[in-house]
Amino acid sequence: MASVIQYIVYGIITGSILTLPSLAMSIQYGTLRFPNFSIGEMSTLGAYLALTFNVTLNMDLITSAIISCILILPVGLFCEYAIFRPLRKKGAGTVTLILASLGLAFILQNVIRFIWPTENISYRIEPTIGRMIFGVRIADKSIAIISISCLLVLAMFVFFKKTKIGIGMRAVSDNIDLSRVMGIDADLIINFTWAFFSVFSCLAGILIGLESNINPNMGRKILIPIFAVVTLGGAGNIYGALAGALIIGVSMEVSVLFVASTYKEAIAFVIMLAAFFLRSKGAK
Amino acid sequence: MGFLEYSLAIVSIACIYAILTLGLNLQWGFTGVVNYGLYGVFAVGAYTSGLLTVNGIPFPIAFICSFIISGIYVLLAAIPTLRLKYEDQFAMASIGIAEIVNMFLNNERWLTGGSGGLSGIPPIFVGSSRDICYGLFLLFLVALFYLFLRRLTESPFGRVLRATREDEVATMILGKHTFRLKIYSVFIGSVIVGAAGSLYAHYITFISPSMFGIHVMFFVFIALILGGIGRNEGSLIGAFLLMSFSEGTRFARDYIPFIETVLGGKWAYFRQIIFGMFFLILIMYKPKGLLKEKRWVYDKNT
Repeated sequence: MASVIQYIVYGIITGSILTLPSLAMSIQYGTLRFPNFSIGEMSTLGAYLALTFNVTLNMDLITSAIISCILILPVGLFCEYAIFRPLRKKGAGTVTLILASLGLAFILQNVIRFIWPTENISYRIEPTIGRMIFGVRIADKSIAIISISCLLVLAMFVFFKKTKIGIGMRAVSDNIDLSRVMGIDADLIINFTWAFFSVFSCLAGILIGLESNINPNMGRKILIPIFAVVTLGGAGNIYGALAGALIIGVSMEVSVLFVASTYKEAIAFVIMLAAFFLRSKGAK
Repeated sequence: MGFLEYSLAIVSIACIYAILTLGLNLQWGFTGVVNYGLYGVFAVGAYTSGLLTVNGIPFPIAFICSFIISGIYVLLAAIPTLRLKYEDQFAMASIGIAEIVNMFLNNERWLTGGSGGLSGIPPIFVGSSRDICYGLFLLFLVALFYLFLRRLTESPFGRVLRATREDEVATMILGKHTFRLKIYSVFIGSVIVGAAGSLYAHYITFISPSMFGIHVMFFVFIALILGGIGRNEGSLIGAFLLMSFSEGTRFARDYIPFIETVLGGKWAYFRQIIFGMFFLILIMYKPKGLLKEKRWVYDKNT
C-alpha cells in the first residue's frame, strides 16, 4: 500500500510539472483555436537556454531560469509575427495552422540539436537530498518543483482575475468577436498569449530538466500528456487544466505499477481518446 | 562508392519516398484527410517485413504480410480516429497513435530489438549487380503503384473522393457515405505506405525506431506540396526533385569549404532547418502545391 502512495506522490510531481505548459497550451488553444504542436520543442529550448547559463556560465539555476524566460519571449513573438499572424490574416484553416506548428517544432528541434550537444546532461545544482515524509520518499528538488509550480499557478490566478490583460485573455478565449466588440485589442491579447506560451513552456522545460535530465527529445515526451490535460480540462478552461494536470500526472505515474514505464505517455493518450469520445456525446 | 552506385542508391531511396508520397496523396490530395500519423504505418510495414524475414520467412511472403498487417493496423487506428469531428482532435489522435507505435518499438526489446534496432535483414538482391537490380525493381514498383492509383483516382471512386475533399456535407447530402469513403482512401493509401516500409527495411537491411519518427512526414509533405496535391505525377516529380536536392546538398560540406569552417559537423541539422523553413514557406504561400491540379474532364463533347 505504501508503494501506491509513493507513485501518487510521483504523480503529483509530474502533475505539477505538467500544469505550466498545459495552462499555456490551454490559453493558446482557446484563443487561437488550434493545438500548437511546437510546445514540446519550446520547453526543450527553455531547458537548454537555462543549461547554458547554469553550466557554461556558472550561474545559479534561478537566475538562469529568469534569463531564459526573458530570452525565449522574443522567440515566441517572432513565431507569431513571422508565421502565425500572416497565416491567420490569410484565413488559414486549422489544418494549415497545425502543419505550421509541426513545421516550427521540426525547425526548433534541429536548431536545438545544431546549437547544443545531444548527450544527456543535467543542471548543476546542490546535490539533492531524498527525504522520507510520512513513509514516502521525495527529493528536495521535487518539493521545490511542486512549490514553484503552486506559486506560479497562484500568480496566474491573480493575473487572470485581477489584471486587465488577464481578463481580456479570458474574454478572447471565450469569444473573440464579442471581445473585439467590447473594445479589447485582440492582437495585443494574442501577443500576450504567445508570451505566456513561451515563458511557461520554458519554465516547464527547466523543471523537467531539474527532475530528470536534459536531452533533445525531452519536450516531445510531454506533448501527448499536455494534449490529454487540455482535452480533459477543456480548451481555455484554467481550472480544468489544473485538475486535468493532476489527474493525468497521477494516472501516468500510478500506471507504472501495471505497465512498463515507457508507456506512461500512452496512458495519457488513452485518457485523451476516451475524453474525445465522451465529449462528442455532449457531456462536458 | 562509385558514382553509378551512388546514383542508383539515390534513385532507389527516391522510389521509396515516391511511393510514400503517392500514398499520402491519395489520402490528403484526393480525399482531404491529412494523415499526420502516417509514419506509424511506415514503421509497422518495415518491422513486420523485417521481423518475418529475419526469422527465415522468404521476402515475397513477408512483403505480402506487411500489406496485411499494415491494413489491420490502419483499420484499427483509422476507424475510431476518423470519427472525431474536429481536425485538431484528429491531429492529436493520429500523431498520438504513431508515437505509441514508436514507444512500442523502443520498449519491446524481445521482439523488435528496441532502440538498438533490428539488423541483418536479408536484402532482396545481393551480388555485384545489386544496385541495378534494386533500382530497376523499385522503379518498376513505383510505376505499378502509380498506374494503380491513377486508374483509381480517374474512376468514379476518385471523383467521389474529390467531392468529399471539396465539401463533405454536400457529398453526404448527395447520398454518399463519406466516412466509409475516407476509410477506403486512408486504407489504400496507408497499405501502400506499409509496403514501402517493407521495401525500405530490405534495402537498408537495418531498422531502428528512430528512423521512423515524424521527420519522415516532413519529407513526404514537402514532396507532396512540391508536386501539387491531387496529382499523382506531381507526387513522383516532387519526391524525385526533393531527393536530388536532399542528396545533392548532403555532401555540400565537401566541396563548399565555407560550410566546414562555419558550421562544422552540424551540417546535417542545418540542412534539416532549411527543409523545415522550406516547408513553412510552402504551406504559407503555396498550400495547394506548385503544380496545379489538372482539370478533370469526363466528357469532351459537353
